[in-house]
Amino acid sequence: MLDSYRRSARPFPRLCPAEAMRRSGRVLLLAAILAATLGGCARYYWMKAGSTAEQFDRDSRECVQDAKSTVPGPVSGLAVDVIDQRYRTCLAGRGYVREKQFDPPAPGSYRGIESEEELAAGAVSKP
Amino acid sequence: MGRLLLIVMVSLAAGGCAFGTNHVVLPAALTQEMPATGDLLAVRVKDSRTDLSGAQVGFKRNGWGAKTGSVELANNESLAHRLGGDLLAISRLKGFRASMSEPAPQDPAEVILDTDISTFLVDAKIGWTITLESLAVVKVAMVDARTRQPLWSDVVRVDGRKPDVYAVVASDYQQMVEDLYARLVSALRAAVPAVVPR
Repeated sequence: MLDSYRRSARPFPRLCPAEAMRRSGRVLLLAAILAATLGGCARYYWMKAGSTAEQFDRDSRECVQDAKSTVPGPVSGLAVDVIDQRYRTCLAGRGYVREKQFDPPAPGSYRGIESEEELAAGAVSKP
Repeated sequence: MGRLLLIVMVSLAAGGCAFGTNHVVLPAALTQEMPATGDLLAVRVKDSRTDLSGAQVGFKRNGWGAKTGSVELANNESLAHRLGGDLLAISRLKGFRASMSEPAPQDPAEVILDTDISTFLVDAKIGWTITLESLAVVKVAMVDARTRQPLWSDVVRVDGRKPDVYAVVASDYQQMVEDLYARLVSALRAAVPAVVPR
């Protein structure tokens, strides 16, 4: 009796292969849905202890100008990647750290340039 | 079924020999004898690329777009060294008595050709098909060796694109890098002035 109870109370009872496949499939599907749902809410933010929005705007603007000056001409194709890389290196060099955060972000987090259109325009996103 | 899925996933991940290093052999460097007369010029080349250095000129990516390998110049020759050699020949062709870096103290350069490699890169954009892209940006300036006063400057940019590639093979990298480098040298040859603008 006790032995039978112990067997049924096992957290992971032994299943036939077909049932195990169905269950793991369900778990995978759930994980994929969760990842797709939650992943969309997380965005990249730049953070630096003690920084202000005005300071970040100024740093971001200077970094994008500096990055664009290294690749003159149209901001398209591979130039976008190169400018983006230099922009991020520049901000990191000024002490900012880029991290993914769920909305609403923590205080002191600022949105930098994340799209090709913003990069071409040299605009600075609002926090 | 499971095995088939595994094969498909491995093929996607490793598609186009995405791992390891591809070595690109550039055609022989330009050679030009030192002219008997002309301004003494020192060629200086700085490689200020942020994500690449030395002989590396590109990235290889797997089916998911992640960097998995490298494209490099053969014999581990640095891009700056190779470009310096070609700029030396170009400068001599233009009539300068050019040498690399600092010439002998008893025969100091009158002009410095400062060259800065901002970008030289071949990379792949992964979508339904693969697009190979290339970009090179080089800043060149002539500076008075004594006063350090800028005399002339220019920025040379060349790029290339090869769309609708289904599987990237070694010859694709070879072609992209060779073509980019040839057009860069050609553009620099057109840009460098034959006389010192004073």
